[in-house]
Order: sequence, then structure tokens, then C-alpha cells
Amino acid sequence: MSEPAAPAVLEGFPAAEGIAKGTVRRIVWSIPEVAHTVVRARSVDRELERFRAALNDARRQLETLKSETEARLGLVEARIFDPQILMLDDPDVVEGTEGYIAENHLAAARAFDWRMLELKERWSRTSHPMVLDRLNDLADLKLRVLSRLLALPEPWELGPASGVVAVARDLTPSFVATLDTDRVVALATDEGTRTSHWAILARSLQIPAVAGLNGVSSRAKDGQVMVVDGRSGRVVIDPDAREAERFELRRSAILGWSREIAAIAREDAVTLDRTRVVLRANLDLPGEAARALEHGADGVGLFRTEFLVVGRNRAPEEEEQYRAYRSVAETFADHPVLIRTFDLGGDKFPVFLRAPAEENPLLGRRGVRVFPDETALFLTQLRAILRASAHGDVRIMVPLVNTAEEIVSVRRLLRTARDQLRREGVPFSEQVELGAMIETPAAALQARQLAEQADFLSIGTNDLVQYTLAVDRTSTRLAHLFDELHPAVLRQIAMVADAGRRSGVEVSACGEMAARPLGALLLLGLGVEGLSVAWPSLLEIKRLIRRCRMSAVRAAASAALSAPAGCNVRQGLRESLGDLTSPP
Amino acid sequence: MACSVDVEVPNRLGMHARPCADFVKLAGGFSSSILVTRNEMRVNGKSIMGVLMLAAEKGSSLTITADGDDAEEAVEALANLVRGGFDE
Repeated sequence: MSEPAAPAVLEGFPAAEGIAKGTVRRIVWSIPEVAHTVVRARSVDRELERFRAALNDARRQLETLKSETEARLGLVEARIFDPQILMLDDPDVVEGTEGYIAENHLAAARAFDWRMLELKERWSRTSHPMVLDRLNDLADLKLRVLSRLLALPEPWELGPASGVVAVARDLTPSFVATLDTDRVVALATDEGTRTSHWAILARSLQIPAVAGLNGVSSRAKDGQVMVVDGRSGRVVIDPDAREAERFELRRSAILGWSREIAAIAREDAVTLDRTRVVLRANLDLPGEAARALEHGADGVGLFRTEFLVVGRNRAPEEEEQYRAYRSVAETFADHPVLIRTFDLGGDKFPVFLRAPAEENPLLGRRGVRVFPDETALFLTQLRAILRASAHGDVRIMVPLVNTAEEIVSVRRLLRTARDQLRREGVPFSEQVELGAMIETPAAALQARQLAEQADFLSIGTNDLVQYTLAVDRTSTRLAHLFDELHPAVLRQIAMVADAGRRSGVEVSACGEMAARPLGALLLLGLGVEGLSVAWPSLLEIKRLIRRCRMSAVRAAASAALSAPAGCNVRQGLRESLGDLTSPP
Repeated sequence: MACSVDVEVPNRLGMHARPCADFVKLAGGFSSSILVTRNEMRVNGKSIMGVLMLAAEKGSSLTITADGDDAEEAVEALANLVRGGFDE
């Protein structure tokens, strides 16, 4: 009996989580060599026309790919094709190529090839990873336009095979966006990184992928068996019995974890000692609502509305806003949706509002402070939210409140909006609640007074930590000082929870802290009733809640209040609550 | 008429592909010519190829210059977009 060949193990960058075993199918594609062809002077116009037609074709294809990707994966993923679409109109690309056709009489394909080579050269010289990552988009686009000009066949035909591990020198976003996920089980490439556009798409499609595996495309042969571990970045070609067993163990561990997590989506967020926690989702875009619902959210705890204003040239119409709010309210028919009014200022001010530069924008005109100057903008928003209230339990949440008077003045504006709608005979609910976000020490210390005016309180931990500690949360040099477990922060959270309990108003929390295991436990232990996190964190936090005892969490939190520093809090929690988290 | 302003890129991931696309789209809506300068590199603000090449990471400072009828508006709009961190 001959000795079986030892399996080859390669290490690369983990690009998309998950593990799979399949049969290697090498995807060979390259930018074709374009012959140096010169055309006669009288053919120049025809070549210019062919070039423009190829650009229009490419644009149509990319727009289709973009809208299909949006339907399949979402807007964020679809926008991966934006740079390529813009390149088709780029003066550097278009005028450069047209110049070579008109002046040098080059054939369209050659002129475009040449221009793209020059641009690639220019990019490669910067050697900056952010630029090098985009060379891949350049190649994707170049292949698309040249395919049309040279009438090339489809570069990647998978054939009828299934259980395929696609192995390539590099992949393109177009390839991954159109992958048949029933047949392709994993991806492995020589080049690329976790931030390559195709890798981002692979993560959304949940296809395990490893990039940066030097030489995998020349070592692996079609038909070989390959294991791809997208979490560790390890790839095994021709696994032997030991490697095969190792694969099965790891796969069942990961499968068990994801099954447990998936099963949790349908369970309530309830602790071992039967305390029901309200666990809601934070949304940046209305399109995320469906995913949040699938992941078992009890509604939306923070619906950010800045997507309607930032990067826009003019203020959003009431109708557009109403449709956005209504769609989320209808998705969560049985649960509340807390809509935060535009949180402008600080580090984000829309283009259409005149925003004089401020010496210290984070201490400047932001949040509710913008209301008095932009009454029309906010009145329109309140009208749109009220109209959506006819279709679900929507609530209004106001950012960066410091005084009870600020809530009173928003309530006045809300009354104006109601009066207008009533006069116009437009339906809305009379019971829409108005809540305040607690994001400053001033608000936390005055929580009792705020709770008398507000229907609910929501703690925005990101800003509360930043303002309490006087540490800019975007500063990388001070990152070690930005500690959400600092006892000064915890004491304020306890005060707010206490104020809510005494006044009978709900207190929830919606910052990053709620999405981190220790932070979430502390918030609950300090008396916060509801947590709101981005949808990808919902199940992990729910699992955590379902594995803890409220009594133990309360005791740990009360000990944390008197700890000297954040590091002691962390250590104390780990000792008293053990390691409740950790995926395989 | 020409005008110009300095801004700092505030968002964590810097001007990666999507912010660059947003910038170029917004710049394309103005009739003025627009230039963006970072260190010694100066590129056409209406060209995705150019703006991507800046590799403007978080904290890098850019000079946005516009020349034309709507120069002032263009510079203000683009500066606000960058200061806004591209809604990230």
C-alpha cells in the first residue's frame, strides 16, 4: 500500500466566517492581451462610438448587478458597485481613452486598455493599502468593458458541478455577487484581503472564504478536496483522515453554535430566574428592519433618521420620510419603534443647512439644540412620524436633552403638528409617546426632573461615556481611556434607572455598551429594563440574557458601583459571573 | 471666483470607496471646477480615480478648492460632507 500524500496546509487571511469542504474548481480569468491595432483616420468616429456603446453597456450591466445585489443582500452591499459606475463617467478614464482614439488612431479596445494600464500604474505607485484594494475594482471594470469591445466569452463558467470550492488568483465583486450559493460552498484566493469588495459580499452571502493564500491557485488542482476555514484562515488541500476528522469536529462545533443562536431568535429574552428583558434593534436604514425582525427583536429601540439628511442637497420631503417610518412600523406590527429625531450637529451636519464652523462642535449646536433654529425641518419630521403612527406603535425620541424645558418645547411643536394634521383630516394616533435620550451627565443627574416630562428615557451610552470622561471617543490615542465601565458612568446609569422606576417610565439603553456582554449585563444589573443593539448582536446578547440569573447580575452590578476603576469592574464581573459568552 | 477650505477626515475608516463615490457624486453636481489636495497630491474632485488615489485616512487633512460660479456653495457642501464623516 502506498503512503497517501500528506495534506497541504496553507494559512491566509480569514475573509468570511464559516467552514466548508468541497471540490476544487479553479477559476482562471485574466485581462486579455490586447493587440496594438491602429485604425484608419476615417474609422476614428466609428471607434469612438464603439467605445461609448461599450461604456453604456457596462453601465447597464452594473446598474442591474447593483439592483440585484440590493434585492439579494441590501443597499450597503449594492453600493459596492458605485465606484465602478462612477469610473465609467470619469474624465480620467473617458477623455483619456477618447484622446488615444482621436489623436493616435488607436482601436477602442487598445486605447481603453492603455488608459487603464496608465491609471493602474499611477495607483500602484502610491502603494497604500486603501488604493491597492481598489485595483481589484479597476480590473473588474476593465474586463467588463474589454469583453464587450473584443466580444469575449463569459470569463467564468462553473459548469454543472456542485459542492465547489472556487479557487482563484483573485476574485471580483461581480463574480461573487452573482455566485450560485447552492453550488459554491467556499472561496480561496492568492490575493485580496478581508476588506476587498468581493470579501465583503462573501460575508453577506455567508460563503466561507480565505484570501491572501500565497500560491493556492497554482497548488490546488481541479477535482482535489479542499477544506476552507474562514474563521481561522486555514485551508487544507487533500485532507487526510486526521484533517477530515478535525474538519468534522470544527464544523459541528460551529454548526451547534449557529443552531443554538438561530433557535434563540424565536425565544424570549428572559433570564434563568424569569426576568423578561426587552431586547430591541438599532436601525441605521429602514432596510435593516426585516433582518432585525428575523433575529427576534422586540421592536426598534433606536431608529436613526440621519440617512434622510446626510449627504443630501435638500431637506427630505414629508412623504419620503413618512414612507420610511411607516415601512418600519409595519414590519414591527406588534412592537414599538422608537424614532430618533434628526441628530444633527457635532460631527454631522447636512449640506443643506448652513452650519458655521464651531470651535468645539461636540460641545456646540447639536441634538435638540438645533430644534429652535430649524423649526420647519423638525415640524415636517414630526408630522411624518405622526402619520406613520396610524400604522404601528411609533414613539419619538429626542437626542441630547439637558433640561426638562427642552422636552416641553418639543412637545409644543408636536402639538402644532397634531393640530395641523387634524385640520387636514390626516389620520394619526393621539397616543404617540415622546421620550428623551440621556447622553450627558447633566441629563443623568436631572433624570428625575426629565422623567416627569418624558414618557420614556433612553440612555445613549456612547455620548454619556464621552461627556462623562471628557474623552473623545474617536481619538485613537485616548482609546484606552474611553472606558464605558468607569464607575462614574455606572453610577449615572443607576441614577437614571432609579429615576425611571420611581416615575414609572421605561428606561432603556441603546449605545455600544448594550451590545457588549459585560456592558449589557451591567446595564441590566443597574436596573435598565431594555437594551437596543445592532441586529447582528441581537442573538448573542439574547443568548447571554438567557444564560444569566438576574439576582447574580444585580449583585455584581451593585458591587461594581463602588469599584475604584473600570478595570476592577471588569475583573469583578468576570469572577462573579464567569465566562457566559464566547463562540467557538 | 475661487475659494478653498481645509477639512479633516473624521470617520474611522477614512475615505474608502463609498465615501469617495459620495464625494464625487456631490462634486459632479456643481459647475465649478473642483480640486482636492492632500500633502503634495492634487486631484480632480469630480474624478473617482483621482479621489480614490488620495487614500485619505481618518485624521488626514484635505484642502478643497473650487473655481466657478457656484464655488462657495460647492466648497461648503463638500466640506460638510467630509466633516459629517459620510454618515458612518
